[in-house]
Amino acid sequence: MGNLTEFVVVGRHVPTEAEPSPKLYRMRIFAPNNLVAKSRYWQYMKKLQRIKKSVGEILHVGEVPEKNPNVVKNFGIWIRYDSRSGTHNMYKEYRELSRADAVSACYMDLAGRHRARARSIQIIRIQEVEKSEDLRRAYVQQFLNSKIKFPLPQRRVRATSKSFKTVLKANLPSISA
Amino acid sequence: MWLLPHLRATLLYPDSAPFPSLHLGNCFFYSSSPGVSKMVYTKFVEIGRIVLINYGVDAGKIAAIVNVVDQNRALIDGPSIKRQVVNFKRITLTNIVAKVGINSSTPAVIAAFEKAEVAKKWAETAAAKKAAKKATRANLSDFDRFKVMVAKKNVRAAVAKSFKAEKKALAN
Repeated sequence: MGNLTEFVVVGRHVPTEAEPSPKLYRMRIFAPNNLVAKSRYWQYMKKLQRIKKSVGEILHVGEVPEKNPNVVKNFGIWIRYDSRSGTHNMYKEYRELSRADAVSACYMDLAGRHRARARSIQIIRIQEVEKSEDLRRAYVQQFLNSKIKFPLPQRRVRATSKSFKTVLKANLPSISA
Repeated sequence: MWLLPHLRATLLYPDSAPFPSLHLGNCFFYSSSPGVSKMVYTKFVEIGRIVLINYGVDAGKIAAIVNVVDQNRALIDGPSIKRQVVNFKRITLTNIVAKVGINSSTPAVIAAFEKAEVAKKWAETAAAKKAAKKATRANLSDFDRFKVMVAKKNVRAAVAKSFKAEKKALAN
């Protein structure tokens, strides 16, 4: 689940004689496209409100663009995740340019660290952490310094394009510090 | 958990603050005599560091680091590129640093480029000269290539002539 987009999906139970104006439910979904967003909406509606796709209707699916995608922000994400042995709640922090990027990073992070698949992860809440003292995780706190300075110790010269990449070279590639 | 080198060092050697010496391996400081720390590296990832993009559509262009996203990526911006996040694998650090504030806007970055004369400083570097030479050679016409061939021939002839003369002088 890389490159996600934030969607707002609004849906409800179809109107019946007993309930002519059913309650609307709005959900923020992070998905690669609007089809997946609608599918995820019904997955959660089934779990949370006992409304299935067969008796429901979707009224609106809209993309939510990032307000300022040019600045690095810190995001706190609350997750519920089903592992092989149980369900866990987690709080994690990510540094990204947008909410959707942060959630993408979160899915990939959980896939790497916990072998978690997208279907077993629920994003409970995502919040930009504006005050640096509110950040809890050291792996994010270390980048808050405006005088940040570190070297890149091991550098390898790369081909400038994939078409120039070769597996076998006549000479060993130069490795510079 | 990935930590910045100096933080990692402080965690590993809490007694030897701020920078430990005599630690080999990945450590980014070394010492020739005990208690004296000396920097090995001269180019750092920092706000305002001018970088050369070495991969993709923007390959060969320069930009400034505006913010560090994490241990692998930085937000870069400059007059010749679109503001973007790049992986450190796709950039080369240069020895030029411009005075750029953290998260600076694009116009501010462009102004900082002009103030620090980045384009001029970059043109003077060996890497830029080499790239310019490569570009000139790539754009030569058939006649230009012929002229290069003749010029090279003349150089070779001159070198051979003086070499022969020197050899003769040494033999006598």
